[in-house]
Amino acid sequence: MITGLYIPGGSLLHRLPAGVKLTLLVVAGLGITLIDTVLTLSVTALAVVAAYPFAARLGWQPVWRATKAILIWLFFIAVAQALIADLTAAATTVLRLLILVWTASLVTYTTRLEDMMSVLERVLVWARPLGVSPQRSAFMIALTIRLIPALFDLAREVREAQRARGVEASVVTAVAPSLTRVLAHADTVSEALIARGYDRWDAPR
Amino acid sequence: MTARDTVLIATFAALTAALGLLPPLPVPVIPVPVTAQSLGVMLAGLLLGPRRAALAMVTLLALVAIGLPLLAGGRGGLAVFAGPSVGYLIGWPVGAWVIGLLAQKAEGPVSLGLACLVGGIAVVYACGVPGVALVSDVSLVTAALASLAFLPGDLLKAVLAVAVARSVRRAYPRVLQ
Amino acid sequence: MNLSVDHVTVRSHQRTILTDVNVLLNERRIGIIGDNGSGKSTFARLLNGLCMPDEGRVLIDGLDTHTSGADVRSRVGFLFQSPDAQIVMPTVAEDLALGLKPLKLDSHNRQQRVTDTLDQFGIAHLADRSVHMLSGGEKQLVALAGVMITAPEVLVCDEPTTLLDRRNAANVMRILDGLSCQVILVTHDMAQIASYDRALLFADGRVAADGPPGSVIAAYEGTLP
Repeated sequence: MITGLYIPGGSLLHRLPAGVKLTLLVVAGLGITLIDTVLTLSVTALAVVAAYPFAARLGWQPVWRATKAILIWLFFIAVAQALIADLTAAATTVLRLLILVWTASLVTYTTRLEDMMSVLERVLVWARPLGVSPQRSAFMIALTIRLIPALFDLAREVREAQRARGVEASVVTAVAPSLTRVLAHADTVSEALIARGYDRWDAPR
Repeated sequence: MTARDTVLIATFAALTAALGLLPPLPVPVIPVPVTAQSLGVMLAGLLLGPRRAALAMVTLLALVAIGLPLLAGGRGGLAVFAGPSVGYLIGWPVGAWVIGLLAQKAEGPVSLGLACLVGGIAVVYACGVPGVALVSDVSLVTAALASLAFLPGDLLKAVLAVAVARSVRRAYPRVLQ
Repeated sequence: MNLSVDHVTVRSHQRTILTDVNVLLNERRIGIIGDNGSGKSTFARLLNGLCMPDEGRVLIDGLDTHTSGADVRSRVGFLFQSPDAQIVMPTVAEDLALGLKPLKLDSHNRQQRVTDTLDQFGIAHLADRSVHMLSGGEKQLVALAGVMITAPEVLVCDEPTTLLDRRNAANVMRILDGLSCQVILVTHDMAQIASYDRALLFADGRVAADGPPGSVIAAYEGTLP
């Protein structure tokens, strides 16, 4: 079973509806482009970081987790900007990125998967004229979540089988047979899906 | 969309996620870690055809956006779409679509490899580099030069993807239908 | 229900899998036996339109599987050998609810049916569990519950106990025997169908024996070394 990045809690931010949080995130993303002094950016960044322990009661640790993921990029940007322009430019760009990433992570950490999912379904309703079915998209996502651990197992099994035969597993010899099995499995799954009424989901009643 | 299309799309979304958890491929000399994840983009394109391959990648990105840590290194959530690599992520469905288009009628290793080079590398980089330039506030040329660090790894993955795809197509010719 | 398989031939990749099979099934319990590759799985798949005849036709209470496949499948449930392929949602309760999708129930009624079915199969404690973490026996019960929640009139089972240990196989058989609907069971375990109303033996894509289980099983065992 895979677990999401959501960190359970009962804070104000946790209780805010997912749709509201996502709208605020978009507004913040646009707003950040209007700020351009190092001082105001620093204050904003501090405010976002402070939101982790105070507004969301998540403590400091998630801040580091969010930062760690873009550490290489922060380093690249700082060096590139310092070389091309100056330290102010470096600080501005780094701070902007940090604010965006921290804010976005804050939304992810405080919103349950199911709530994100229902926002996504509501957004997809607008895509209906393009032939997108929100229900089928939601099913696709659930099915993928179901299949991820199964894929891991299949790959592991094939690797073990190869080891048992004494063949040293290279990437190609390990991936190709397990992939073939995964595809055969996919055929059985789709057969089962049909048996369970897949072609009647959209039927009017 | 048939039940089989649905299952194959979900399977390749899951497969690409699973590849992200494999240990990084060892590529000598270069400093950046080369994850097996973009192998999933190429495999989807080579094996599923354009439409299903692109949808598999869209599905994976949707899962990442709603908060699952499915990108290499356990990354995920909305933050990855605010970071510099956002362009590469958007490039995955586009690249998978292009590979699928080029690989649909192809069979030989050269033409399949070409499909990977065009779709999996040229197209993905064309989407990725502007993202890096925009978020890092550097010129396109600087961003492109920085992206070169990933090129050896991606070339290796193209070779692997073609080898795997050809082996799978032989063992399971029905896949492209 | 009357399941009529009318002079059916099925081919795949230039191979003939079933040759001119012609039977009418309406008994409450029907067992199907035969070697691997004898065509019994294909025969089972004909009954709910998962597999189509190349010649002849299959009529389920008069509905042709070729033209009314979706309707047929709403009456004929199918239990697969591997529950792993059959369970498609991340948690048990979600998976059961999936089968109700075509019925377009409101969420209260849907929830109620899921709870009732979980109780009926003795798996209420698994409701919110990840399907991936279940044991093989639990998975097969969940798969069966997922089929039975739609209350099909016929249940076709393709070797549902092959992957299970004896205890879990016995448990699944006990539940199958207690079902009120018509059951068609493909199996390698002769004891499972000894008390059935009728048995069919498949060999080389044809019905080699048909009648009371006792004589059909004897006919099959006569061909074994």
